[in-house]
Amino acid sequence: MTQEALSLQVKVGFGKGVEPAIDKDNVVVQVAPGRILEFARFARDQLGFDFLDAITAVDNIETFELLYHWVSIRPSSQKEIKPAYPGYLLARVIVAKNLGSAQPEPGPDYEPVVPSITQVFPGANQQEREIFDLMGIRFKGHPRLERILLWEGFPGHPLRKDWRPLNAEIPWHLAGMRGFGGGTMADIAPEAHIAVDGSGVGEPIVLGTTAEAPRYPASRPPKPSETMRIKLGQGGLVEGEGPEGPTRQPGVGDPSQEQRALGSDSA
Amino acid sequence: MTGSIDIIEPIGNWLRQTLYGFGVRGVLLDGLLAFIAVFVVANFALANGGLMSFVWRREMAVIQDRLGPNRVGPQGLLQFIADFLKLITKQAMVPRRADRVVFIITPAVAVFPFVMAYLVIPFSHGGALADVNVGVLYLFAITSLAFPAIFMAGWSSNNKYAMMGGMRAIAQLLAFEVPLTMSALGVVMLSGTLGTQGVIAAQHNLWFIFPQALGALIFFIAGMAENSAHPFDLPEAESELVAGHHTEYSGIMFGLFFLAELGTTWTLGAVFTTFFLGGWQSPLPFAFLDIPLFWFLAKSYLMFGIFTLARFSMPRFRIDQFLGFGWKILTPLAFLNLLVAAVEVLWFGNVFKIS
Amino acid sequence: MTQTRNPSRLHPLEIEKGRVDLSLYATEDRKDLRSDLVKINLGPHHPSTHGVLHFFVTLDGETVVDLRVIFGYLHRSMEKLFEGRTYVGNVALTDRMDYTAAMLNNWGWCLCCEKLAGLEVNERSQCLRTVAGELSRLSSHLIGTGVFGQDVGILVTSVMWGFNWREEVLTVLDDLTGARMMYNFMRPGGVRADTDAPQGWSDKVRKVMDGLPRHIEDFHRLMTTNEIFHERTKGIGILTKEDALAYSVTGPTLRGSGVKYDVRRAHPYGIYPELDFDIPVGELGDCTDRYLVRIAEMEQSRRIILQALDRLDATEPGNLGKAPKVFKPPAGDAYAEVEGAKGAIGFYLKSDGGPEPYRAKIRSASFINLQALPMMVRGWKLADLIAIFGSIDINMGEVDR
Repeated sequence: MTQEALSLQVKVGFGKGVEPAIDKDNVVVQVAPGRILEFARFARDQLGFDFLDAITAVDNIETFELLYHWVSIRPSSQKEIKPAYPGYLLARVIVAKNLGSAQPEPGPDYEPVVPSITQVFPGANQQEREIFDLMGIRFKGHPRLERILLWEGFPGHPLRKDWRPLNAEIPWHLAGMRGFGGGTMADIAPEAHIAVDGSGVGEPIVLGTTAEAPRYPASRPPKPSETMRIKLGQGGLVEGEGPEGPTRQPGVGDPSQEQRALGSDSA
Repeated sequence: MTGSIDIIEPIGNWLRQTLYGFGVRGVLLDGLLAFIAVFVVANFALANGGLMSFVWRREMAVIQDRLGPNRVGPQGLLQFIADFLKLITKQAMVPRRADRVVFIITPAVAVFPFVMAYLVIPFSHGGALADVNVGVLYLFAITSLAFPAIFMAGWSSNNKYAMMGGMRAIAQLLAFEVPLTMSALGVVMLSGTLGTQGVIAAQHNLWFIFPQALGALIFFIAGMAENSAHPFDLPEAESELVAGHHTEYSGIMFGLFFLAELGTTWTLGAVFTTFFLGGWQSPLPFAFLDIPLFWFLAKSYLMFGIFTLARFSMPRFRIDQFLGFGWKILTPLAFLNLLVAAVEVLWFGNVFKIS
Repeated sequence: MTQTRNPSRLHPLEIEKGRVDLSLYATEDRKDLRSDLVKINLGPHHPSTHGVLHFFVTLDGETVVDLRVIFGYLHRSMEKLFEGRTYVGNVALTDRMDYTAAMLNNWGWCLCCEKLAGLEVNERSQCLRTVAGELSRLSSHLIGTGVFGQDVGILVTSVMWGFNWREEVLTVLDDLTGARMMYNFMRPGGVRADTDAPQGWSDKVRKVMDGLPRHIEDFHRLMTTNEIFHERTKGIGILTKEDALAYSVTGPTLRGSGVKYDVRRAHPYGIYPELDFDIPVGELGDCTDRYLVRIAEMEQSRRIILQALDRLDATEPGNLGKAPKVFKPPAGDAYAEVEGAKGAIGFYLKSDGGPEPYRAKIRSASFINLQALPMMVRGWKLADLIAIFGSIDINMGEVDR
């Protein structure tokens, strides 16, 4: 089956409003979120794409995007090993974050709902749970939608671009979170790189987000109480640690107990 | 072979004469000698069990294409002493909701049977501690005390794994008690006596492993099952139940369980030697090599080596497959073996008569 | 004594996806027996869970009624970490996924980058990649088979042998890359510039391949021909073709069920279209089939390595092609798969034109294969749960990422 034939089959078979496109070796179909279950059934029953390869979720800043990859294996007609269609069938589901006037400002707690395709492809079960866990997209009809890699009570959905951890002193920029606590590897203070004469690490990495942040001497690594302040194992968010919490105040680099207590009073 | 070069009797006589020379008489003399004999044998039982842990590990290493413990002492022989010292100094924890009394006495209950079995195992010509004429019966009675220990351990630990291990152990040990005793019964029929020295004496023409090959095989398998030795170690199946019935045990309590397992394996080898391999009798016709103690120990260690070899080369059965094997295959075979033994007694009884 | 039918098909319980209707246990005869279901925790620390994995098993005596798999203990937020490092720097991270077969993860990443940017890889790099990748597959299968023996009950004899023979493979890969396990070998566009095969390396690899048939024969003698092994694995944990495809299972698990799907043939990459090798397939989908498929794959890997070495020797040493030092692919996205040791490893990369990926997603084989486990073990005994889990060969680094 060639790509053109497949895209024609999709267009004709699935009906109203899909425009399959050809992108490298995939046939990409844009599907509305409400119709993805129908499309999955159509792909399996009519087109013969019986193998769900992967479901991916991407956070484009204004929308979420779900990508479904299918392969057509059809083992009953097995003489050779090549699938019926050599590439992937790809369904792209765009889930808007902005719901119009009803919810103009989707906050970090916003969890869009998309139908689950576990009825048709049981192999979507754990993948959808992972997407819910890390990206926060809910799947309606999933038999057990709960967090899978992170623990219950973990604050937020980390793979989102606007996910902010509660703790600013950890060098989050090393974990790839731009715009929060610094930039990328290149933005780290030069002293933190390996010394050019090969003698080992230079100065330790500057913690904190401001220039006034204390620099710990190389002989004493920071104590956990001075850096880690995410409280593990408690359900829900920690009180008073949001964007108005003490760690976000500029100049408050000294993590002593009194200042922390004082800082939480002054919103 | 009448065991011409004996070691135990001369030493016993020398001791008696020395003590007589010190002025010890009568009941005190006999009592003291008996105490010394029991002391020596009991210590031998326990120390041998410990040493077997080293032999076990070296043999495992050879099979698995690696070195074993070879640092502590010459060739690593003192490894078991190092292990023992470590275990003694470890904290022996009792879980909070466990049945404290039962939990603590169970390791002793586990060690008890195999040490007591040494009472009737003849080390040499005239070398059994107590040559009762129901020795075989006594042996099976005392070794079947091993399984309450496993069950007690499993139940008192307040741990689901341990309980499952205990439950499996009961089913398994119960299932293999019957073939074990039946196969030994064939030996008893051939020798005409229940006493262990009598069983050995009846093998003076032919060791029982030849006429009772089937019985020997059944005894081998059922004995390993009774001992929870691999491939029948389901109660302590390491890959499923972590350690089964002794999951919660630590320190010297665990050490005693481990010692009990190894000691029972060696005792099983010794019993197998007594029943089927002629005990302390020498296979060679040379009189100068006829040291009964040496031959007994050599055969027992050989059997231990074979048990260990079986341990590390085979996967483990599943419990229901294994119980099916015990009840549906081994038990009928054991009864068949009894028939064979009866036929042999009828036709070839003269071979085994003690002259 | 042999169970050749899957009892879960005959089981009277109504099985919903992931759940069991426990009210069916409240029947009259059960009430008389006053029996109950036992809930047991296998793990997270357990000798047989191949890493940190938590099984929450509901047992009826010895029979598994329900299984809930809880993982995430090794989650290192790799997908988030990818976004903070350059494409080239991320290759080192991909080693940590399926750490027993690290080269194949590298390859998947580089393949996706090349698809994104339209790069070509030259012949010598392709041959090096193939040899390294298949050696990694050997390394993973040696461990997997050895540990499967342990799960079935062989007291670590097979483990010791597997790890011992794997040492030869690791030595050879150490000569090539400088590392035994975390190679960081490949780059988008080729391989790392200073890791060309040293002189005489291909002869060393050939020597290791000469020793491999004897090792496989030893595995056969220890396990395949053993009656107890047969009883423990034949007919156990049957995964039908339909179930396997429905649950998106790939790799030796899928091929053991009779589906001849291998990414090297289905979506070819590298020099695989020009190499001559077979895809071993099982029939029934039980533990024996998966185990035998792995062993047959080891032999096929040997074939591939020998052919690739011949091609490698025909290329000019030192000509590794041009792997760009600064890699900034144009905006767009790509999805590429390689045949990892445990199954198909897919990478989805989305680029916004910068030096770091905008989104990197890993489709990991073990994560998806694990979905089929609760369905496969229902109705079997506890001992079979361990055997079935060992036969699908999961790596927790891949599951949790």
